[in-house]
Amino acid sequence: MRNTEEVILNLFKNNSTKELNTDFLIKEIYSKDYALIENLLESSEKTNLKESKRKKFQLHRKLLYYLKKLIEGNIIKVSKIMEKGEKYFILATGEGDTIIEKGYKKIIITKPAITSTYIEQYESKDIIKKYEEESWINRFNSILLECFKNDDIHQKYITLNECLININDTLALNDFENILNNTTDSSIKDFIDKIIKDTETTSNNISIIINIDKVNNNIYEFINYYAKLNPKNINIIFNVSNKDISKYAKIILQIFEKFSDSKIKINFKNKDLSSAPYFKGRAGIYNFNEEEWEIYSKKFKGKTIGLNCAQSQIAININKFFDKYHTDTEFRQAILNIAKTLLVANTIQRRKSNEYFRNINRLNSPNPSDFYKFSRNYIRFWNYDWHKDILENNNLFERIKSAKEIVDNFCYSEETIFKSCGIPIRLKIAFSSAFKGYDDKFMGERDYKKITINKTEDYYNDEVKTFLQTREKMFEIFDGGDRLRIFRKNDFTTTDILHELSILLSAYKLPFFTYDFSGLKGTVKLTNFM
Amino acid sequence: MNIEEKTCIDAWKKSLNYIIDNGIDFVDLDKRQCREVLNLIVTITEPEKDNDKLIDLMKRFEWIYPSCEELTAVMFNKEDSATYEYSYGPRIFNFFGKKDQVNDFVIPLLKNDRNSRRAIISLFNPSSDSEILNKNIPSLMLIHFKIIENKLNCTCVIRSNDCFIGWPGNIYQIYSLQKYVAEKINIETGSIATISCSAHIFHEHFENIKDIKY
Repeated sequence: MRNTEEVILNLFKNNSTKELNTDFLIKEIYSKDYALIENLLESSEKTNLKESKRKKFQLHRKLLYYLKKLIEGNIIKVSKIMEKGEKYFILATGEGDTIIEKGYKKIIITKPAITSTYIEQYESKDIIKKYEEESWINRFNSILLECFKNDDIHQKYITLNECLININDTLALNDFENILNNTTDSSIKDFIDKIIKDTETTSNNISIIINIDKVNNNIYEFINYYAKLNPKNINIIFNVSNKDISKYAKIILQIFEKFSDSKIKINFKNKDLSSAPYFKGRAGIYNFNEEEWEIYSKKFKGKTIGLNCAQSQIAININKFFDKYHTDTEFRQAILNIAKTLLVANTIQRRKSNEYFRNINRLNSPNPSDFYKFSRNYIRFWNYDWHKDILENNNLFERIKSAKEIVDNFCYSEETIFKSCGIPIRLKIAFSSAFKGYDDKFMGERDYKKITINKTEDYYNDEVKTFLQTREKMFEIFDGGDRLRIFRKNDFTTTDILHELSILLSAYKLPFFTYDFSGLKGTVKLTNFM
Repeated sequence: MNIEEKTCIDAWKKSLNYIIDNGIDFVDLDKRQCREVLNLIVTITEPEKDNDKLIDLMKRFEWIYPSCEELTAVMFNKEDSATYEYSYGPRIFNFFGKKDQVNDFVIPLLKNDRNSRRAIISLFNPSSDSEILNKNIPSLMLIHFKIIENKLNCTCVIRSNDCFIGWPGNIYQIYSLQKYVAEKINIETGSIATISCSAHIFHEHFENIKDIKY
């Protein structure tokens, strides 16, 4: 490879997504000659000026010779021509690694699979952030693996292990009681030990979803073992309904006792409000659309290993946004720009799916497309103080609602456009809250109201009631799921716990909530019921 | 109705105006207002001139239109993609894992018999597509290749054709395939004709159509 070509390629290598014009390239490549020209230009003598123009023209011609060669080799292309004929060039290669080899020399140009055009202005101000930018296209955020009654735990582990490499946040094991009920203690312990190691290696989360009304006595040993280990990246979600509380009180109290002892958060999904699974990742809560979950349960369950849940996600820091921008129009435009970015991300993901997700497609054979049927993208919101917002009448609820309408219309239109061109895509975008774990640095400090319960009677105080009603509204808007976290302090009795659960499950429309015992001192013994 | 023009843009303009002026309104299953004419035949005699211009025009709007790369990939990728319900490429180049309709049939057939009337590619498969609840089936049903006066001409049947949004992409894709076949049999490309069983435009796009600056 000739030296000049190599220099040009290195410039494109360092600016793999940018358009470079001829002036910039000349300055970089022929820096000494260009400095001379600039000196001549500063001179007042006519002959020097003429000479400088002649030399500049020569440099342009020289450069264009090499650029033409690279264009012919399909390495770069003209991206635009400005009014005075000035040309801009960009890499013609697709995203990923391109190895340009001539003779003994080799240049590897990596063009990231990221299209930021629509949100660059917000990203540079740290207002908007893609989740796990390095892998936000070549991995999914979350998938759900089904556990069936006759599933073998060893086989399930192999499948889970294969899937973990394809995600960058969380994997959910749905109906895990199907495995728990039919497996010996040692196999379950072995399984838990292995997935703890895997999640530590990959930094991914695993959510274990258990239906309380379907477990057998194996649950007790499992709870004890899990509470003893207290794994950082594995969480359990218990699906319960109000009527389960008295019937399965013994199990619920065991969970409360063991988990509160180890300061483990207890997650509950209210089955009466939602039949679709809810689960937790670092970025936030994931779920499925209720109607689509019904269709899946009736028509597709069992045909695949489970479902892809979330493809790509982007978060917006609400407080920061309104510090810099002020109007509803600007907010709606930002959300629409996020939606456009997600569409572009999905486009690349689709094009490369056979390469990126080959093993997942193999696991779902012969119905690989069914696995992607109900997946969505996420827009997550961080640092919005809903409570304060309602008190101060800032109208954020309405802003989010109207942004959601715009996003839904956009998705529908794009699906229609692509379908008309013979590209039957699915584009769905869900709204949800973000967790601090989405990206510690980007998120910064939390700015929201917490709910702390010291005693059961607190649930009857007006402030707590208003807070919970506000959170009900948020659950309505966040079609991608949300989580209410209750910080439980002070001692509680069995009656307290069952009563509190009953309030949360029957008096409010809160599909997913978590009891957090981080503020609890000492240990709690809930023995009087058992 | 027959529309014949030299360029894609002229043919497109004329067909859009024809549908707006002569179509019948109805509301589709998604509750969208639609204007439709039946059996619209549009012939472009020199599609090589501007088949990509329509894609550029579509990119001027607020929406994101599929890129030329994606339109071509959908037409030429032989492998089924798990993320699409169906895709043109596998149906054309690997029909249900059994037949490469272009390389193993159309090209050798036309090389062997330049007057053949059998050079047809089918994209519709009744065994999987004729399901009452299955809405995701190809719109482009078949492509017929015919050599006349040493030029490769193409006729396509499109069962349901959004003439504003879909037709530009369809023409770009069909021309890519026409060019591919023509190069293999070493002749020039000729005309493209689309026969749209339902040629329609959605009311929500009427304003966009008015706004186009060709």
